[in-house]
Amino acid sequence: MTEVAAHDRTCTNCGETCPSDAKWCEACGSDLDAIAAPPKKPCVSCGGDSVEITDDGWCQLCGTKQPAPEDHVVVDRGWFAIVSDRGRVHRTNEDAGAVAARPTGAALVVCDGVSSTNESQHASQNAASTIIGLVEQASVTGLEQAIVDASAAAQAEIVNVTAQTSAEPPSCTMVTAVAHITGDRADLRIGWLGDSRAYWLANGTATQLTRDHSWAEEQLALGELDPAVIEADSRAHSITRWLGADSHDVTPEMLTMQVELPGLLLVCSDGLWNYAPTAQEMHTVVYPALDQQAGENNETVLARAERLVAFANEKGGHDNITVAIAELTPPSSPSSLQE
Amino acid sequence: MADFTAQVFQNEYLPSGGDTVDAVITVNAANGASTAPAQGLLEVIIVDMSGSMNEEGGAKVRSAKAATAVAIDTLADGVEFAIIAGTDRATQLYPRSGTATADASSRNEAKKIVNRMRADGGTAIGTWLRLAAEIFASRPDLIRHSLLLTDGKNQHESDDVLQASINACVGLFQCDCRGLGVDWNVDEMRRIANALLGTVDIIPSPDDMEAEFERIISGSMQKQVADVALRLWSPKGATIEFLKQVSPNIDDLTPKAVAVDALTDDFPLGAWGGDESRDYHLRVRIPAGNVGDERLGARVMLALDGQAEPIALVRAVWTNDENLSTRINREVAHYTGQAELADAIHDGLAARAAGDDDTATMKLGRAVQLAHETGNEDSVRLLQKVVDVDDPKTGTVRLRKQVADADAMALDVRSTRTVRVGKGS
Repeated sequence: MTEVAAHDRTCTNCGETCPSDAKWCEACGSDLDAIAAPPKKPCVSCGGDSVEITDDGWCQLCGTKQPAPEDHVVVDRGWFAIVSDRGRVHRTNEDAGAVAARPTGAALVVCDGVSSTNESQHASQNAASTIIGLVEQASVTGLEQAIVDASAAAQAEIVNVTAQTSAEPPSCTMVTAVAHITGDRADLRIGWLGDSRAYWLANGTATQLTRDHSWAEEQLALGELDPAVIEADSRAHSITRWLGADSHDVTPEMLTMQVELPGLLLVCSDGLWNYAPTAQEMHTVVYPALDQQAGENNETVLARAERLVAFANEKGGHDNITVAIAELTPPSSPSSLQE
Repeated sequence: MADFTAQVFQNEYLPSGGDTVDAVITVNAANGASTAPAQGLLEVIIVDMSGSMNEEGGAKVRSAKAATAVAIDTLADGVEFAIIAGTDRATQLYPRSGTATADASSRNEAKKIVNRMRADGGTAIGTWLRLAAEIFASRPDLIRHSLLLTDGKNQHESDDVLQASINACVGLFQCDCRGLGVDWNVDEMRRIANALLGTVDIIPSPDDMEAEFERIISGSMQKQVADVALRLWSPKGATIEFLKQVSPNIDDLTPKAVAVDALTDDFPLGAWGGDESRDYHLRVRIPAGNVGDERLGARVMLALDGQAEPIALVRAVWTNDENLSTRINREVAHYTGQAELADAIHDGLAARAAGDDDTATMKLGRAVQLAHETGNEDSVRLLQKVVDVDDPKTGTVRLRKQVADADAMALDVRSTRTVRVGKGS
C-alpha cells in the first residue's frame, strides 16, 4: 500500500493530494520533502503524549505497540477509494493495493500477500505499485495486453527482491480491474491470479466476475467430490495460482465485459469475502437494508469501503482486509467527479 | 561501555484477558575479545583463624595456610589485594592497612605472614565483613571481590549484628562463601552470599581447599566490568512478579530492585567476565489488552557506568487462537522445573532434618524425578547420596538410613545450581 504514495503525495500540512512529482503543495505551498515525516500522534491505547512514543512505535507509558502506517491505509479519490487493514489477528498487513484515475475511468488493484511465506508484503506491495503504474498509462485498445504485461512486470519485481535461497519465496495474489466509461456503459477488464475477487453490483444484484484459483474451486469444477467434502478439506482455500518466484505461470486469467451504468465495481481480498462468500451475501453487505443503514444513498465510496472493513473486523478480522471500490456513473451524471 | 547482547525466549501470545508474561532472558557479555584494558580489581581474602581450625591435628590450619598461599599466587600482577584473619574479631594480616599491589615481592611477603598465622579465639563473621567493607570502601573504582572461608557458625556475635553487617556491605563488594567441614551453618553463609552477589559451597575436606581457592581466585581474575545492573522498564500498572537469575544458579533478584523512576528498576548483577552468559526468568503482570493488541511486558536494558543500553524486548500479544496462547515455551518450562527442583530439595532436606520422613521421601522423590527429566546430572548424583533411587522416572525413592552430614550439606548448598536447556533426557 505504501507505493500508492509514489503516485500521489499527500501534504502533511493541509492534507491536499498532490502529483507524485510535486515538490511544493499546490494548496498551501508547503515543502513536501521537508514535511514528509508524518506527525506523531498520541498513544492509541492510553492517550499518552506523542513524545512518549518511541521511534520503533512503543508507548513508553502503557507499552502498547502503535499501529504501523500500513496497518490501516486509506486512499480517497471521491468516486473511487481503497481501504486496506491489518485485521484483528495477523501481526502485519501483507495485503497491498493501489488505485488510479484514467482519462475515461479508473483502475483498481488488490494484492494479498500469502501469509504462509516470508515477507510477503514485499511481494504484494511491489506487485500493486508495478501494476498500477503500467495500467494507469495504458491505452484503451491495449488494456488487456497491458494487464498481462503488468503481471509479468510485477513478477519480475518480486523475483528481484526474493533471496535466491528462499525456501518459501514471498508471493501474492493479484486482481486488477479497469473500467472504461463510454456513455451510459462501461467496458470492464479484469485480470487475476489467486483468490482475490472482483464484483459488479448494479440493479439490486451482485455478480462475481472472478473465479477463485483455489483448490476448492478447481475440485468443484471437476465435479467429482461433494461440495461439503471439498469445503471441509484443509486444502480448500489453498490458492493454485499466484505471483512469486515459485510460480510457473503468471499470465492472469482475463475477463472482458460490458455493463450498464450506474453500478459499483468492487475488488477485495479474501479478508472481506470470507465473511460474505456468495455474491448475494456480498450484495447484502455492500447495500444493507435501508432501515439498518439510514441515509445509505448518501454514503460516500470511502465510507462504504471503511464500513466493509469494519464489518470484516467485527466478524473476527482473521485475515488482512483490502477493499477498493469505484462508483461508475455516466459522464453527464452530477455524481461523477472524474479528474 | 562493554557490549552485552540478549536473547528472549517466551510465548508472547496471551489469551483474551491474560495478564501474565513469562520470559527467559539470556544475557551474554560480548567483550571477551575486547582489547580495552580490563577494569582494575581488588581482592580480599578472609580466612577463618578461630580455635576450631586447630582440630583434626592441625590439618585445617595447615590447609588454610597452603590454600591462601595458592590464592595469593593466583592473583595477577597489578591486582590490589588484602588478607584478613577472622576470629571473634577481624585482623588485617597483609598489608597492615589499605591494599597492596600484587607483584613477586608483595606476594612473597604476604605468604610469609600468612604462614605465621595461628588459630585462636571465636567466630564473629560480621566483624570480618565490616573490616572488608572498610578496605573496599576506599577503592570504589575497582572490581571488588572477596573470598570468605569459615569452618564454624557465627557464635560470638548476635544474628542481628551479623545481619546489620551484611546489610552494610551490600553494593560495596561481592563475596563467595565457603564452609570447611560440616560445623558451619548453610543458611548463614547463603544469606551472606545472596546479599553480596556471590556463591556458597561446602569444602568437605581440608585436602580440597587449595583447588577450590585457586578456582575461585582464577574466576575472579576473569572479571572485566564491575557493578552491572539489569534495568527493567515495565508499563504503567505492571507488577514485576519476580526476576530470578536461573543460570548458572538460581538467585531471586526481586527483592534487590532499586527504583530508577516510576516505571523502571535496576537489579544489581555484580561484576561480569568477558565471556560470561547468564539466564534470567522474568514474570511480569501487565494490564490485559484487547485481542489483536500488542504491548511491551518489559524493556530490558543493561546499566553500567550510569548508561543504559537496551538489549531486549519482552512482548505480549493477545489472541483468540488457542493454538498460539497455549504453547509452552521450552526455556520457561525448563527453568520453572529447575526452580521446582531446588525447592523440592530444600523442602525435602528440611523435612528430613525435622524427622518427617514421609514428606522428605515425597519431596526428594520429586526432586529425583525433576533432576532426571531436566538432565541435571550433578543433582541426581548428590541426591543419590541421600536417597536410594528405585525409579527416577516416577521419583520412587527410599531415604537412606546412613547419610554423611557433608553429603546432605552438599545437596543443600548445591540445590540451586541449574543446567541449561538441551541437557534433558
